Amino acid sequence: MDIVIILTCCCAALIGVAIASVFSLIPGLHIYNVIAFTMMIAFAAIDVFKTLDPLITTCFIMGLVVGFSVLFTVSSQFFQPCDDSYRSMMLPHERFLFEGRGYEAAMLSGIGSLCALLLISGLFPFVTGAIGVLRQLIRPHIYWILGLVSLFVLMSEWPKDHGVGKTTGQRFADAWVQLGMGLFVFVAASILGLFVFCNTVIPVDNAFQSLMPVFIGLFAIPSQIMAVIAHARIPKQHFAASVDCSPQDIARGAMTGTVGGMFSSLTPGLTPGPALLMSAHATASSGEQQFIIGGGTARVLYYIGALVLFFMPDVYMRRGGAAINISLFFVPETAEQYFLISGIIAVAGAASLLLLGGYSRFCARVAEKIDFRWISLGGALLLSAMVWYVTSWQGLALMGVATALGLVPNFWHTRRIPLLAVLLVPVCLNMAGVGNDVAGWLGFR
Amino acid sequence: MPTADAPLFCPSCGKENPADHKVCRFCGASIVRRISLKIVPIGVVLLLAIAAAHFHWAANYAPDYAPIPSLTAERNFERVRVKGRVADVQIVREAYDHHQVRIELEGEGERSPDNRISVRLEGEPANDFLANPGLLNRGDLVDVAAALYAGAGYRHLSVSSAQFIRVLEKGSGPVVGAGEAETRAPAAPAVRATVADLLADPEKYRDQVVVARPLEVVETPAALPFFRVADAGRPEPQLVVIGFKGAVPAVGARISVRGKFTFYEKKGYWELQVRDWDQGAVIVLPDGASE
Repeated sequence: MDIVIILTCCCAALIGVAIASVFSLIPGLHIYNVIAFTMMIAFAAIDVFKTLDPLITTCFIMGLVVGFSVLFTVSSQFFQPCDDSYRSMMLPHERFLFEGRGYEAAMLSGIGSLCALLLISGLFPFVTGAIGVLRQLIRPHIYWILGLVSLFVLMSEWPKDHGVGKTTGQRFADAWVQLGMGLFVFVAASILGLFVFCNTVIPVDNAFQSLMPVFIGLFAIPSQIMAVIAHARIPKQHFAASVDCSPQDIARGAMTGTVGGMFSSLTPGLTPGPALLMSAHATASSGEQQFIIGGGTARVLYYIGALVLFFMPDVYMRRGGAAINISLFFVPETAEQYFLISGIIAVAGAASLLLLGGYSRFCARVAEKIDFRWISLGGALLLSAMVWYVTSWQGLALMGVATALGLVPNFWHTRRIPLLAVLLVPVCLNMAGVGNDVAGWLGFR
Repeated sequence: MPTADAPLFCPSCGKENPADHKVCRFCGASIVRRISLKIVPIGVVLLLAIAAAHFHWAANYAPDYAPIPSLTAERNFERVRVKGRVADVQIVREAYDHHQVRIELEGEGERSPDNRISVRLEGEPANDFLANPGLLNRGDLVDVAAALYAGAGYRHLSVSSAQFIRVLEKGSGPVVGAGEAETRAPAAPAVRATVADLLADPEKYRDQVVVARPLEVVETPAALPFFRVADAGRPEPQLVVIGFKGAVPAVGARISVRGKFTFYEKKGYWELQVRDWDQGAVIVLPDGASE
């Protein structure tokens, strides 16, 4: 491979990281939305893009994905805090933020990301055969694996408030309202997912983005609404030169994240949230530091690890929105392309990690000086505008329905993981070959 | 230098703690058991070293070329990498104006039929290839990454993108271009039929390119990429015309349609499929014209 091509690809990837760092400032924005938006611009200016080597465009997208997967949680952490009413279900990085340790949480997550990047670029090239075998082993069993994950999500729902009512009715409500709402969210999200999988509500031209309004509605907009109405005050943040953890925490957190990340990247329909939940049980992971490090590892392995499978000589698996978008103009075929992509991941990862410290300081200072409610409000409006632009008013209507459902866990203090049934259940049913029948029973076909 | 009684500041939250505390009384973080964030720059250096190694491998990668005689039916569907000289190139224009590029590749070593294989590009890869006239000379030494299709009595390589044919060494033979080595396969003549003919015996016309006229546009759904037609002057039977990217004629207009008569399995109906590039597939007939 020509050295000029390699250097051009590096530059393209670094531009991708730079753009990702800007987009990552918008809390709730998903990288696949950014890629889809980029693709729409690319198709509009197809004559310009046709003159570029597809490998260069691919490396640009790889830079976007790497930059985003390392940086995007920082803005969510600083700009979308929850208030005191969530004490019983606050995640470790949220607790760190209220203790003035938001920067430390971001760096712990960065250490997890570093472990995943070392794994993807340093180890994966030597185990492509094993990953190929693993994929072949998992492939025929995906439907029941997803079924078990769904069952696990349901079984792991628990009442989070500690109050015990005085009357029988109150005690019954204490025991069942949160559990019941968790189950309701699971069922409703499954039905919404089946509907979206079976019907093209949004205009045909942009049907490849049919899940975009649903995901923004279920996850991004409710978080922003809650941030806007939250009564939280972010304390002054301390920028630590060291982190409170041991080498064992890093090793165990990275191991948990690796298991969860690999599980989700090799299993269509599975996202890192439930995968990490299961892997934390499987590896007996404990402690806030291990949770944050594991989250960083799993996220990077899910986004980048799944994408790199598309280039892996023994696998060539098209998994996730980024791979689907890249496959529109690029077909990986040769081993040297895989070496190039692995190198690009390492370079883009190094650049993202170098940015991480300054980026976290910047976000912490912004959160101290600017009211995060305005940032969340701006983010919500921007996302709504993007949904309208890409999927028209039909997409906006779909987003409205999804937002209503996405707010249920916030108002009833249940976990948001059951919302992932929107993807888990339809994929599981379709892979089991009964998706059409179930959709028919529900009147969607 | 801190003395034994000097207050300690928690490295995590920055708040003041008594000197003898090992755990911060505000945030609960350990004050003594810490890992320096210098670990991140060390990781960055490690990543850059890994990147340099990958780029070195990418730049100096020596592919494991499969000898052409070894490409037998046992290796059917395998992705292979082959090196050989271009013996001939044919650009075949098939029915419906599709192109197929066939490159005859001869392996290095002895000249024998076993040491030759056809490399094929169809659809978009063929169009990309044709967009670069002069890409190949006869006698060029090329590197091809492709999928093998081999069975009883046939053997060829299918290339999924024109970028997977790389010239390693230019030969001195004549340049092969879109206009030069073109051979035309006999184009299948379009069959004339009415909508009533087509639907009366659909299997007879299945997957054939037909010209149907005069037809009348019956319905043009605004949000969907198709319209319905019927034989002029007869409201039934109707047929869906799909795939036309030009301006859809108005309801009531008399038109001629050229397209592939095919069965849409998913919804279970017959339709006329127009290729998206075929701007002349739908012609509005002048008033009063029947032909």
